[in-house]
Amino acid sequence: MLIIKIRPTETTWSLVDETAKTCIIQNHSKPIPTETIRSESRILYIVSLSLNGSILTPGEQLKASQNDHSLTILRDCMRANPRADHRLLNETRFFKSLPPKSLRYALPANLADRFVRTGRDALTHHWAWVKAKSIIPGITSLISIQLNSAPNAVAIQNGQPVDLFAGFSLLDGLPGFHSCGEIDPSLCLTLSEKGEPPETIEQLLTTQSGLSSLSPELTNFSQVFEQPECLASKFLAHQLKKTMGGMASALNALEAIVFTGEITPALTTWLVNLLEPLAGFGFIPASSGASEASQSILWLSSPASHIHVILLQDTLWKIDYEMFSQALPIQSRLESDVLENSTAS
Amino acid sequence: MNLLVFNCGSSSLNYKVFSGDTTSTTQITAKGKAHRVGVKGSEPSFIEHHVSIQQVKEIQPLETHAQAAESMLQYLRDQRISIDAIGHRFVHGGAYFKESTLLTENTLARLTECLPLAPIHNPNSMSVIHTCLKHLPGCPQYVTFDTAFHAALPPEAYTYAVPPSIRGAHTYRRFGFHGLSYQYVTQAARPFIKTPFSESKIIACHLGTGGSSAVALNNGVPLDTSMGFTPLPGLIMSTRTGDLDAQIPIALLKEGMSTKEIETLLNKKSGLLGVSQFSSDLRDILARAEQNPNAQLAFEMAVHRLQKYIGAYLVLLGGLDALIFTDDIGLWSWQIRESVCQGLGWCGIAVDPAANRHAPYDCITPIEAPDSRARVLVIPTDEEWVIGQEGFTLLQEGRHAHY
Repeated sequence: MLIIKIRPTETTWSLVDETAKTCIIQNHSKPIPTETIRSESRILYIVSLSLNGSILTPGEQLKASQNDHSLTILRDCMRANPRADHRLLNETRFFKSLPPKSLRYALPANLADRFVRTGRDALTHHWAWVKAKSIIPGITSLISIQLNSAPNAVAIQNGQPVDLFAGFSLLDGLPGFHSCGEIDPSLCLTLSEKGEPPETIEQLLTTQSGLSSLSPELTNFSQVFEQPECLASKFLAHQLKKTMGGMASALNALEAIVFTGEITPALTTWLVNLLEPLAGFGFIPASSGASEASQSILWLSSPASHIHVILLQDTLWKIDYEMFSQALPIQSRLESDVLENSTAS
Repeated sequence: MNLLVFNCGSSSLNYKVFSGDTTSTTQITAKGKAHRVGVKGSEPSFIEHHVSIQQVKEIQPLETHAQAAESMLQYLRDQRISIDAIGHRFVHGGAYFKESTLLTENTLARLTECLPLAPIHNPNSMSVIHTCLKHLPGCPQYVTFDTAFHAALPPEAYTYAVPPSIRGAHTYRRFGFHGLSYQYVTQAARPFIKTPFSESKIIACHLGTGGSSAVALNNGVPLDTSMGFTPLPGLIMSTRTGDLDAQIPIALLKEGMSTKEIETLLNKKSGLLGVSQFSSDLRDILARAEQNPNAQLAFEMAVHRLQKYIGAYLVLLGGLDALIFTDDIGLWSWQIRESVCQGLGWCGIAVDPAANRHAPYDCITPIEAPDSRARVLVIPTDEEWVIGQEGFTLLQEGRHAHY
């Protein structure tokens, strides 16, 4: 399968073998050889309109969707290989259903539209829902928690996000390895009054803060789980417990929690400890702490648990590959885009 | 012993005189409140006094809290009520004060350093202290701190994920506020909880007409709280944003706004006022919620934020014995309580609609449904009582500040 990721700043492509066991070429940014396009029976286009981690406003999205660059790639590939199954997945659309009460900050109206919470890792959260639904068919809601170096969470109901634990930027929500996450923003004013320029404050909070600033001995994010006694580890656990509870309230349900990250023994043990307080709400841990359903799925809850908890391995190219089934056939999509554009004009 | 307690608000000053010798035998000899202190407008400032069954209302200009305190001291002299000791509320004790303390020259100097930490409240309290020093020299005085209640927060709750140099240089940590109120309501809840207090799990929500916050207590000790280094973060308040992405003030600074302008924007023009675009008063917002989409959104956002905080604390605690609502909005807004608890069905917490709707403002009222997994209590707070009790203990012990 040929997977083409189209972003405002760059386009990359990957090639996955038909058995989905290996990624032959990953995130290549050079032009795609025509032979490669012709040889694939399935081509997936993942379009993301996020720019530098923030989602574009509706007006900007429309402008970007009319961008000739995206359409040119799609048309060129379709001309080169008209028989392939071409599909399009618009990553940005995933968060479109979020209600204003979840997106907005309590700012005056003139600032409210400029500064809103924006979702990250849309494809991974969407995939977490699809994957969990296939494993636990009865669920209607779940909390998806992405455990990468910029962790974030989404509450999903019937496939649609209803709330998120992420901010306008990385300076809100869960702490990253180098970014502060949620803090008292008064600090920015205190530092500014002391003469620090805003660029310096931004740099400080984006690149010199976060979990690494709490435990300077850590050299990478995965070590947070290997050293559970360090402050960074305790801090992240504290924040994640609050996130799980907050998301449960947003859903008014606590059916399932899906963590995505790199499955390691350290992370597994860490999550087992993290989940302890959920025992009071019907969570029963897996008998041996965790049980492996496959190389990419780990059960942290027992079959009798009222709350299902799984850890999914987040290999990005596999996520892309598995999301092919969720993408819409491109022919109909192009037609609808043309219709949208003509309506807009 | 007659113990005079002052409680400074941003535009009010409450006082109570407690008479007695121990914490269990005290009674209120006199009490009063100065209204509209330092407020300019068509309504005049006035002080209400209550002494035994007598009630007096004095209309007079009150430009400062010191002026109001002077007037109160004069009234007590006129009533021949002698004062043996004076207690004060200080909202923010910074990193210095982790418990109540007797006033000495040394503590006075430390208190002066804490003035900028709560610019709306601390300077007012300090002016009342100086008024008392001037008019009652030699009378023992002591200070209680809202932040002291939260001194036991664990490091993972009070630390912000910023470099140690910043945390150290600016004592940048989560302090938490409304501590005196929390101390009162969590003690008052004891008889209503089967679990011993030292093993209990409590969430208290102080919902005021100005500021609001929430706290989680595990085994009687604070585990987390919603306000932070300042009273800005956390719940959506009348004119304060509550939680906010730090990139937003940075972006506004880049655009040329001054720190003062941003501070005013986030503290005075946001929150319910900013979203509704017409009022900071929840009563106005509720009255127009059905007709005005902005009013509806302001209410929904405030409820949503509070629901998330309660949910967050529920998982932190791993269960719950009691959920407490207190202060003005917590007492009178059955709508807030009902809406918030409607989102807590996932953990088995529910209110009885009739009990909730008819809960009186002036006594402790359980409002949970019969099948609720935790008690839901409406408790009127009494910060002056806490200041008074702290004083009796402190004066007996002669305790001084621990730095």
